[in-house]
Amino acid sequence: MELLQQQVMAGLANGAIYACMALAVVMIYQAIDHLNFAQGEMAMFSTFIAWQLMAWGLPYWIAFALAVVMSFAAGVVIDRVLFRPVQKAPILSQIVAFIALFSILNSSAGQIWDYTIKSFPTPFGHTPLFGGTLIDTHEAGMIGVTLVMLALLYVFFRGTRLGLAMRAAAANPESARLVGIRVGWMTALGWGMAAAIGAVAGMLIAPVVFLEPNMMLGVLLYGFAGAVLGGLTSPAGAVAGGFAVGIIENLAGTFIPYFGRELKLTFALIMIVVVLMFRPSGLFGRRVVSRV
Amino acid sequence: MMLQVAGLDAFYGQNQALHGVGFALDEGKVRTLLGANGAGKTTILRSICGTVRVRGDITFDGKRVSGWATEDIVRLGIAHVPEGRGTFVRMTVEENLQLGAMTRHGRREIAEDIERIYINFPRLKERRAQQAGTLSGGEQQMLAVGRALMLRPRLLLLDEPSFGLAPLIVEELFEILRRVNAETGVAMLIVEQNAALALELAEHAYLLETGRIVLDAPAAVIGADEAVRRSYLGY
Amino acid sequence: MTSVPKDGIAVPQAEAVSAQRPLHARLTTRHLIITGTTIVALLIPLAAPGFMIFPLTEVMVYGLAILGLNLLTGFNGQFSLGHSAFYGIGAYTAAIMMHNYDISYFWTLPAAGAVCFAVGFLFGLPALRLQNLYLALATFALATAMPQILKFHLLEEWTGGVQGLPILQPDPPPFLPITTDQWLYYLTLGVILLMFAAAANLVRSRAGRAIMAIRDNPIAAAAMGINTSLYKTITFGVSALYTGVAGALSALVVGFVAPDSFTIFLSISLLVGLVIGGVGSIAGCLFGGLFVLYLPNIANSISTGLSGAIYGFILLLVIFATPSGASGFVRFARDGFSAPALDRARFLSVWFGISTYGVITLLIVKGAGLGKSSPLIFWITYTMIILGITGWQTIMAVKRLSDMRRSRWWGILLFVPPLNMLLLIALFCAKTRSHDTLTAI
Repeated sequence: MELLQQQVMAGLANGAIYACMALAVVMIYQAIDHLNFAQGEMAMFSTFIAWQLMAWGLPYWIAFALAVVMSFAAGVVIDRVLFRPVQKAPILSQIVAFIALFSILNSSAGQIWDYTIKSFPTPFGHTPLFGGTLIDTHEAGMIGVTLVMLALLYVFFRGTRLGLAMRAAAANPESARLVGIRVGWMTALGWGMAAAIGAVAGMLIAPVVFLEPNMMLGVLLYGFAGAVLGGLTSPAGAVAGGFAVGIIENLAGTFIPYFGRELKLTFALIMIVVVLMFRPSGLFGRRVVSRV
Repeated sequence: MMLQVAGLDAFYGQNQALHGVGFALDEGKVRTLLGANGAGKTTILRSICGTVRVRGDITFDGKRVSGWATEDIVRLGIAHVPEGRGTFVRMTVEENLQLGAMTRHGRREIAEDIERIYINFPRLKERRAQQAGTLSGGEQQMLAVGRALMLRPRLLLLDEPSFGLAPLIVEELFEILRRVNAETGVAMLIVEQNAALALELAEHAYLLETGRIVLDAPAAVIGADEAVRRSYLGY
Repeated sequence: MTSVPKDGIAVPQAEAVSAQRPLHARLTTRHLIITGTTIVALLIPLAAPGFMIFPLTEVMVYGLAILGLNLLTGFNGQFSLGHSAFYGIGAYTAAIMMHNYDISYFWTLPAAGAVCFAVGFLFGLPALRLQNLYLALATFALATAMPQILKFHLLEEWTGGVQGLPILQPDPPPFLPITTDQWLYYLTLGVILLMFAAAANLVRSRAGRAIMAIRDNPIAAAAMGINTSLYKTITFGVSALYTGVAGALSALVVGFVAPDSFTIFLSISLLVGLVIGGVGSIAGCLFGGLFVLYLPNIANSISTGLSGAIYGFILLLVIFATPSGASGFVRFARDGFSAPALDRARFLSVWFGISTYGVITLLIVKGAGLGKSSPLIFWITYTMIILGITGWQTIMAVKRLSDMRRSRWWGILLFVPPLNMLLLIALFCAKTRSHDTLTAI
């Protein structure tokens, strides 16, 4: 029983990473109504920028803030330059555009900062908590920051006019125009916010997985899985989903003998698919009822 | 004249849907566009809203709005209840109404307006926290009209408000429209297949055929002319 | 004259008539193009230098794999990121049969097809409950699982573990005086012709229409009495079959199989190839295969360090210019002046799209080394490509002029060097903003 508890805790710690990423994923989904495969690479690139700023001598929090702001701007630019031209194209073509972005960011990061692993500082320190080796202050900090971001987003989307406008623009752009919403700006805003959240996620994750161009590959997938599990309509669900994925992954790795590290990912995904078969809109998603 | 349209051509791609359409609408008046399917009635409304490529003159309050973006045209006070209603199906009834007032400021007035909509459409009040997609056709139509009214528009464009609704509901809806026009003085341009009802509400009517206006007369005149009614309006 | 109604449904008059029209009237341009291309394809190995044959064979194999994906995603609307798994299963089936059981290579193809059909069908069953995004995730799981399963230590006896299995490449039949490479080429070509023809047939049949109906409007399709579950699972199976056969062919052609050749990145490449070639286009699959094979090489040759970035950049350019892929572009060019007006951004991107495709084709041709071995063929191809580029750009410019309601004769300026830049700028700056609800390309 104690092993179970410990593994759940460890899973929560890991899950904080996925929850953070899942939040960014849901954010972009709310803005543009589908997923952006390059989300992880954008986060990775932002983290490298922060690293570079610190390497040039800026203190942590200044670099952090600058990276977030620059990521927001970059998100808006990517929306204008990359997403706009393919907006009216079939979804598969948009996906290929995202794949292209992924490739560009990954390769550029590798070229600029090379592939050696770098360490990234954390404001929370790495002191172990609760006397064990399961969760330390940084991981607790991650969970905290994720929850704070979640709360802010919730308030933004449900409680403000701008949030409502963004949701409307994503859900039904034509009707949104008819009520006077500037849909183009809303989409850009959504991209900016997603990029900013991604930056925060990246900077929280880097101290754990270490900074290198391929660091986000696995994380993004788990983030997607968490977001889908939680239901793509709900940021809270995404966060919960992210934690759930972390726990599932850890438990699978510990308790199922054959799987070990290799098949952990597959198992986690299969679990999620099974859940989705019984609850197609995810655990916390709102069922969208459409009358034919 | 609040709204003036002259020499309007509209295009879907290379297809020309409207040919030299011209008409006008005054403050507070109700006019209707009649005609068969494909005659171009919806296209006219879309042209006013800027959703379709046009050539020609559309003037609203002295400003030439042909070529403007939809969002900007809406801000002048033109509300469009589109074909198919355009409800935000995943949002609640209340949120839909709030969205109608997106371009307005003044939280208290907006809240008051929402209450006023609920008085006009009591069925919506019962369902205020429900997802809009779960409402029946008639209720969604009421919601669409309510959302448009939240803009406090000077001009209300309605595209086939009776479509797919039971006759009793349609009568209710038109009664509400009459009341709204009388109380708030909002001008209305109604596209309708149900000519009889439309002619009761409107003071003037335009009959369209393949993108051209073929008849331009007061509603009473058209309603009284048997030949016209029989050959164009089917009753 | 109408035919006697069968099952209460009259056979359409057109079918009845065409059965009576003479052969020469029934041939269309499409038939001519296909015949011509096939003849060229048959002759290439005899004329081209040896090192070119292998890549061409690979292009065909990829094209077949992409066709499999196309059947599922393009024609049936079920999104799959898992086709690398089917490719791998096909490859390993062939490898295991040949390496462990010494079965002749000929039987590996249908066997791979059968195995993959079964796996695909079985996967299609739970997939019925998943849509789009969720299906994507599920197929992603399948794709990531495959390399792990192949490396799994319990299965090492059969799969050869991390190292994989080597395969003895089949010798050409003794009565044909050709090399192994050439034989594999012809084998692949034969399989391709057969399977592409079968796919084309399927798409045009009633079943094909049902499959597409399910993609376009599943609720309406079900309401019309189409057994959507059956069609969807069978399509999954057939799609897996196609990709599986491609995998088996690739095992023969490459000469070995290893787990890390069948990762999710292969699935993504197939998807990219599908979109570039044109979703829902059978011929486009081959173009997609060409692209998938050569673009990474081209990017690499421009800059090794930034090869990914260049790859992405070119990919973006191509997608901007031709969002519906090459086949969509061909359709658009064919429609010519009756197509909807191009807006500014679209015009420029199409213009550059033509150039991009042209340049890429040129690079491919150059990279294939034609220039060294047979200069005549090289220069002919080169000239044809240049003419193609100029021709299409002229067509675009003239179309733009017609949209601007100016005289088309201004297009002649394109051939006057200093003035053509001015013309291009004017064409770009002209306002023909469209609010079309129809997409142009």
